[in-house]
Amino acid sequence: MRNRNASPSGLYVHIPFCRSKCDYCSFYSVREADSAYSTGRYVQRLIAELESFRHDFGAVELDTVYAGGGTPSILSTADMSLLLEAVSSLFTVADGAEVTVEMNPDDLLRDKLEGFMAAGVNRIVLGIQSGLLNHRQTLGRRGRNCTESDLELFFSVRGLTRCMDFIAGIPGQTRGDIDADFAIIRRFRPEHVSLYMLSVEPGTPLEARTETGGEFEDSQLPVWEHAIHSLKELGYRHYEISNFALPGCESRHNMKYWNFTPYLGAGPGAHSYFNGVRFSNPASLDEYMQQGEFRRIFDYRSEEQLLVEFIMTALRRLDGFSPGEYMALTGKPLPRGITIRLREKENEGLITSENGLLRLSEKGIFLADRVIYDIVETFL
Amino acid sequence: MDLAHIRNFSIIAHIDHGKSTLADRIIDKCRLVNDRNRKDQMLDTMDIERERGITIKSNAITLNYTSKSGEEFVFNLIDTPGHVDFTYEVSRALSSCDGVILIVDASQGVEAQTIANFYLALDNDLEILPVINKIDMPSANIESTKEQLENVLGLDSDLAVLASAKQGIGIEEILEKVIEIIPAPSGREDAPLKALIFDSFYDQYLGAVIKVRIIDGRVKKDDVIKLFATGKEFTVTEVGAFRLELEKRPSLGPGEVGYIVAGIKSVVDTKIGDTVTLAKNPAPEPLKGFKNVKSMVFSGLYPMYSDEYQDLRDALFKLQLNDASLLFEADNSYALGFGFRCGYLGLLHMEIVQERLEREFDLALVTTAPSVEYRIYLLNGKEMVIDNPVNLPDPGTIEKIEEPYVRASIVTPNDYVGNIMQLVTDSRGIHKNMEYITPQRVQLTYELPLSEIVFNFYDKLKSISRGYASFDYDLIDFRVSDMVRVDILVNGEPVDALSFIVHRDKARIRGKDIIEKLKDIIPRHQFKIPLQAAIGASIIARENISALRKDVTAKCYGGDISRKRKLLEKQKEGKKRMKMIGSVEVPQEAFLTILKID
Repeated sequence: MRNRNASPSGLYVHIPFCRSKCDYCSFYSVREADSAYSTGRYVQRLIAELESFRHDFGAVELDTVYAGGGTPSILSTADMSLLLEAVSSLFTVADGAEVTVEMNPDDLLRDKLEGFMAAGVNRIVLGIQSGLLNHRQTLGRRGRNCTESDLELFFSVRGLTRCMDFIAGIPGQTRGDIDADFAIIRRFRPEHVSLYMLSVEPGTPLEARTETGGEFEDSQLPVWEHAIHSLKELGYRHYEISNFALPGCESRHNMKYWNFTPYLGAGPGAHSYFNGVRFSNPASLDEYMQQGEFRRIFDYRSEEQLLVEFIMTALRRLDGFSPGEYMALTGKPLPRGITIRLREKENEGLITSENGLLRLSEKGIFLADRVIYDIVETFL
Repeated sequence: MDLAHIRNFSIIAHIDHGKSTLADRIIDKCRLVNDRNRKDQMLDTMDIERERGITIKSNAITLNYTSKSGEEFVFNLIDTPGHVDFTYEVSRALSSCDGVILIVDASQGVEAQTIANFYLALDNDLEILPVINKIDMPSANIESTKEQLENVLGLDSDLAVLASAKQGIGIEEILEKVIEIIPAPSGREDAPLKALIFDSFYDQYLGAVIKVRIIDGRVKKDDVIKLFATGKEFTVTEVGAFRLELEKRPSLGPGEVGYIVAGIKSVVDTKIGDTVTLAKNPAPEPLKGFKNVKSMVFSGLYPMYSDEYQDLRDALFKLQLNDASLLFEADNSYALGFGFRCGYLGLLHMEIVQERLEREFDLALVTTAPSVEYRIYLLNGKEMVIDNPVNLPDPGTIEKIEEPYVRASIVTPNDYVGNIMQLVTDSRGIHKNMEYITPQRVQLTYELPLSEIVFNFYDKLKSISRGYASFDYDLIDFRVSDMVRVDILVNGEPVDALSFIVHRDKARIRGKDIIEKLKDIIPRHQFKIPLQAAIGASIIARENISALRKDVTAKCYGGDISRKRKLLEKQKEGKKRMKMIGSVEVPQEAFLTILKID
């Protein structure tokens, strides 16, 4: 099976280790100290999986690499170098490729920053979430907060695209708290900001101590709204429901998820979309480390399911999408059942259309899940 | 077998006093089972009976016993349902016996159903052999239990056998006493056939099989029998006795207990309490006491998914093959679509029917709140009986409404008397009597409306008495009450399946409870939804479900697009469980909330 993908692919590498797990997190991760496997051994295993990609798909052309987690910044500079060297030798990496690593403030040290950059990293996502102690406590956010000197260091390094992650909608969080958190955005102007809205996930320690329901959700809305407006005022483009960037600094990797560009995922639980097929790895680290062949779980989709995915991802892109993209993807026009619903939502003021591009309106953004459901309902 | 060597008896007891265990021990002792085919609760054949540890259907078994003196006896042990809902069946089963073993738990003493069952036995003129069971328990109090037998039931406690069915203590003594105390049946071989139907069941090969006690005469294959209640005639294809399985016999004669197969298609034709006679030489009159079983509790039963209507209908017919006391007729609701209105003997019966439909037929159901039957007297002189709130006529046309009252007996440790009095007062009960069974235990007698019992009374009684209070009731009469219908309106639309009839004094609080629950269950929509409870045009309670302004996943889920798509698919699955009331999607569970309020 050779690569039949038209555009360069992305590569996601999952690092499932954390020093300790935050109370709101429902993603699969393992406490580093409890892990039966050293990060070194894990990186060897990742490289073996990358070799299997090479074996199955040939020298895939990449223009983005993204190390997410877990806590990818837990890797030593040496491990990171080994990993990125393997990527370079097993794939055809385009000039100017975007190479991102998520980083926790604990790892924000000059040696590590410079070491990662020397290994090829050129984009770092710093997980701030909230800078206010009371909210960090509410979240059960582990690790240390960024200090003044951390930030000065982070922004002093040349040749790096800097991103920051924030969470809005923490119980008790006010608009004023958002303003306080965003002071560092005003001062340092990172190229990219992700703003997630807290979702209290079932089974997390946060859920056990949080009163959820209608009133809580209502209380999240004004804070999130305010955060969006603040970012826009600061000159950031709201280009995806949770993502903001200074013009031209949008994440090329993340957009692949939303616009049907191929990506490969390595590591336990990682997802791939390649040659028009979705597949993923089993979530367990033990299985990932101990299995012989890498076991891929394929998710074959019917035509309807493909259509649902198209609408679902296209509507997250706030620059808008053209119905022609569906034709390009499938060779067929959007079904009438969809275009009628899109028009209905436009009439309800939840979708706007401009120059042949459709996108969620400002009101529609807050009801995105509902709008998507209503449009695709008959195809589910 | 000569009559002198037959004993027909039943075991009666309050629930959990050890009835099924004693039956098992007696069967053991009579060597009908070996280790290979032994199991617990031998006489409870339905899964639901074994799981709940209760008996729903009457059952019988024929046993051989050699007495200490070396004589051979035939014992017909007739098992009876233990719950108040099935009192009529118990009473019929008892009328097929000549005596009973009355079990009392040595730690619990005399309970409400001990008393109720005791009186049933007296009504049927049965000899009573008292057994004090569970004497091996550390909490057993034999002396106090004996006193209760004497004081509450007026039994000679010197007759009581001390036993532990679990440990096998006293079993032989019980069997010897059965021979001594319980009289042999009487009956004449040469008289016209009179056989009492005490139960029936449906077998897919044999059709309806009737369980009978022969009083007079004899019945055999090829006889043409006649059933008194319907006058219908059938040709007998088989008679026999109940062993572990049905065992064919050439004939059944006076004093014997057995079954008759006669090509009867449905158990609906085989009414419990009816008399079987021969078409050729019929008995002049039936045995006394037959009555049609009456439904006490009614509810709507709807398929969760409307395309399962036909399946529900088939399932109800199949259940009815074996349960003639289940009544149903087609019904439809604006909110719930096509379904059935069902009549049950009581709340337990209702629960059992619903559970069997769900388990044995794999149906998802929506049930409406249980209701009792009301007698409506109209100003124009007409009368009507309704069991569905929807059918209550305009209040302006009604002169008066009558509702059923029961006499309830509650036996409780006296610590809980205060709580129970409060509960009964809240349930519009009228205090009639209070009697000390022992210095620590009290029997309370009340008259109260059945509609209040239907409304979680039993659960509340159990919870305020920490499970210690026992309860039994009998329908006594219908009385005039100030009843009203409360309608629930969602976004201005009345939802027929949520309407209920209630005493005027309780209408507001109950209406409020329901709309508060609905507020939590109905998901928010893009518009505000008013919820109201109303009596006619007057609104007695209101709430609002505020409009949905935020429904978005603004979090990172990487490249896992499949997961998000599957969530949408699940959402669609969930929506199938929604009913549309105007433009509001109401989850099916909303219709169950009305069952679960205090």
